[in-house]
Amino acid sequence: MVEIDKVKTNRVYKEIIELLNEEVISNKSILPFIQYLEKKQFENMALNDRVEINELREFIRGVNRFSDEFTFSETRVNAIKNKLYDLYNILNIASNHNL
Amino acid sequence: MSVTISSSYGLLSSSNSNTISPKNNGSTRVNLNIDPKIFQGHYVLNTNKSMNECTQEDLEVRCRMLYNKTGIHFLFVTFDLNYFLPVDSMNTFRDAAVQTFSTNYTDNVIVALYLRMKDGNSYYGSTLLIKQINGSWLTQADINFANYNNGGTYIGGTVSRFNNVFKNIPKPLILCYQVAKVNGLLSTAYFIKSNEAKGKEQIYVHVLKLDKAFDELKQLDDQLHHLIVSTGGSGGSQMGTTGYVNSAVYDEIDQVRNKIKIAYVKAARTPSFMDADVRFKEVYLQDTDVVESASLNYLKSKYGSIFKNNRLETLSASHPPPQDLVVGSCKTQDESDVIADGLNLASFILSPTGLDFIPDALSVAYYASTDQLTEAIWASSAFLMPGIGAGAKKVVSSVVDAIKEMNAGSRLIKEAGQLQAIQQDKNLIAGLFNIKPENINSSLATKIKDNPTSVNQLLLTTEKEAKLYSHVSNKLNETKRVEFLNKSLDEPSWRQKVLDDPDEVLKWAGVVDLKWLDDLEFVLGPGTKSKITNWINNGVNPVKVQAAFNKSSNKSELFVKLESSLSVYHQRVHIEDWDNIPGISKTNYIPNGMTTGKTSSNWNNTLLDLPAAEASNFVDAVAIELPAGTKIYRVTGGNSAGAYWTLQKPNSISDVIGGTAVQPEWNSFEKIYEYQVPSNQGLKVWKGQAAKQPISQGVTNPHLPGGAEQIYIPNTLRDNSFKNLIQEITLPW
Repeated sequence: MVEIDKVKTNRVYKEIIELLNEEVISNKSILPFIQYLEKKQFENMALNDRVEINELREFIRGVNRFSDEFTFSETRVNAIKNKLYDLYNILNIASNHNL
Repeated sequence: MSVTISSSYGLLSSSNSNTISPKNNGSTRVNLNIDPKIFQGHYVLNTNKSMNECTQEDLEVRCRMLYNKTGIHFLFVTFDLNYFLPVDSMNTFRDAAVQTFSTNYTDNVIVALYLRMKDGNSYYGSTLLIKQINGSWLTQADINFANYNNGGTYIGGTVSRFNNVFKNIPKPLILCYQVAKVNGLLSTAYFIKSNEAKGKEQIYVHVLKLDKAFDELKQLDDQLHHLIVSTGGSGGSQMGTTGYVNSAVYDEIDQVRNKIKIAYVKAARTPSFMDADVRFKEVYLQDTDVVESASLNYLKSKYGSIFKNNRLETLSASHPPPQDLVVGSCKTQDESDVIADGLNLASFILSPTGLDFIPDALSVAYYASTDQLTEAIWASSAFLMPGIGAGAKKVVSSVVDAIKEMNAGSRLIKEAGQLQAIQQDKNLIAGLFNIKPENINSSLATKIKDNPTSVNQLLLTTEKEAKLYSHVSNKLNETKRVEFLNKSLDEPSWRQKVLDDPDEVLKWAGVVDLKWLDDLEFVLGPGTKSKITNWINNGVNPVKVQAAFNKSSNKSELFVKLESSLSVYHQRVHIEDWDNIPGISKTNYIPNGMTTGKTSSNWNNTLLDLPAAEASNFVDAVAIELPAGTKIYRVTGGNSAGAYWTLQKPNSISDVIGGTAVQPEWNSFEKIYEYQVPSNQGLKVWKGQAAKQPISQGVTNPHLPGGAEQIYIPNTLRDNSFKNLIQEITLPW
């Protein structure tokens, strides 16, 4: 069983939130996206079992798919998307190894 | 089977001077070829074309209504004779004619024989013979009495009926528009929408309102004219006086001229209106040129003399009004007044029972307003074309089109084949279920046509039962009404259920008592009820939303969710109204997306890779390059230049929600965009089958099945040149 790196997961999540908080200052249209992302309280999740990891992976998958509905500034779009990909990859690898 | 009416040659042997012997061919054997089927729905045999179409329609519908109301068949037969029947032979002839009916039918038949007799090519006389089978022929005195009491003429009769019932119904008057400012003198004429009683094309009419100043001005103008004539044409003080005429005349002329000026000023400052003595058919007043022309021509005919420079003539000449513009007129001349005698007599015959029949839009309004539903339904059958009623009120062009079709020969009354029955049944059913005729599509019309048993059961219900159908249907929205009708046609048990337990049917339709909203408003604050009512009106199921609030432990949160929803589909997710979210699968969600990303060795560019997070949205994916000219489509309420597109234009919301697995939470589905790969270019994309998605975060059943082909365009390719070629197109739904 692969242990998920909770510290790294939380850090990437926070980085995404920070990027979005910077973005929303000049781009209010992404507010619903931030609210959607903040539905899950990452810090409170134990991530000790497969079910929870899978659930979180599905959530990030949805977040990423939802992000396609928004326009981000040229300066942050790649950073935001790459962070989302990173977070998904962390959860996906853990999930796949724990099958 | 045909009914032969015959009389012997000897019947015509008369010395009466009315007989024109040279044109009498010596035979009175007349076979009217009356098919008994006419007693099952056709009542007018216009064998000699003595009636024009609108009169025939009118009579036919009146006869049908008469039968419906009384069970009495009123058979109206018109027939040409190429000779004159002598008066003494006429009685024998009609008795012989009626006797043939009496062998097969009882006294529930009234036969009216309208005989038109001619000598050569000229018609010299006609007569109307009426008899109730096994009863007595009405005398000329009877006919005269009925005529006298029903307005005297066909037009008079209908106007008389109109006036009698008009006071009982709400007046649907709509002030339309100013049509003329004649000669800049501020005299105006208005048309007011109203109802009139006669044939179908004359149902909606416009009353022409005239400035009262017209009459005053005409009177003053005539006065002025006479005065000027009396001066030998010198024209009053403006023209100087002469010693030959009393100067008082010139003073009077000046006074009249001043009165004319004052009349114009008064008309301009405080206009006052009166009804003109004609009314125009609405069907002709959809064209503003015709409207203007109609009013100007009328003004010209009545008041032309007061406009010296003849501008009225110039203005009205450009669009001569139709020959049958005025209500009560027809394109072709007929003998309507003779026919009217028959109609009036029918009223007369029925007068002891207090019954009369007026089959037109006015009747529909009248019967409906007095809660006589069955009569209203029957009266609505007078609308021969679907949509004419609604069209007359709002879709102008459709009325014109409808009348064009009617004039082109598609009227029910002219059709002996199946279409006639379909059309009538369709209208009757539409009336019973309060469905706009235009919402009865071809498949439903076919169902009505192919299910005579079901249709008859629905139409032959008692008045009480008809009310149940109608009341239930009234409480549904139009879409649900159509569904209700379909079920009523399909399922005998359902028809019975409507009669036995209408409340249960209303529950099926999602119609519930909204009193619970008062309680909720008390909890959540003012405005709650109106907002939820508005959502219900826009498609939120009232039963489901009530259940959701009942179940919710945080009603305020649920309300906010509903309030901030992207679409009604999103609201339906919140209230778990899965039946009304198209494309979903009511099974457990099991992820079937790819578990790893993909790269294309051919492209050899990591920026064009399919990342794992995106690959998870595909069941499979291949790297392809779309050739120039390829069109791709994207439905969204947000970013038009996103990564996910389809090669096939979606036909429905279902294609988007179900086929490409797009959660209602993500997308408002408000717009559709198209992009075409430019010439001499290609577009590198990942193409594959869309993977499943949950319908919402945390919900496993139902889910979005995916399965449609979708494409993913890497971010690096969606640059400004890409964005500039995206065009919004019309949503297909």
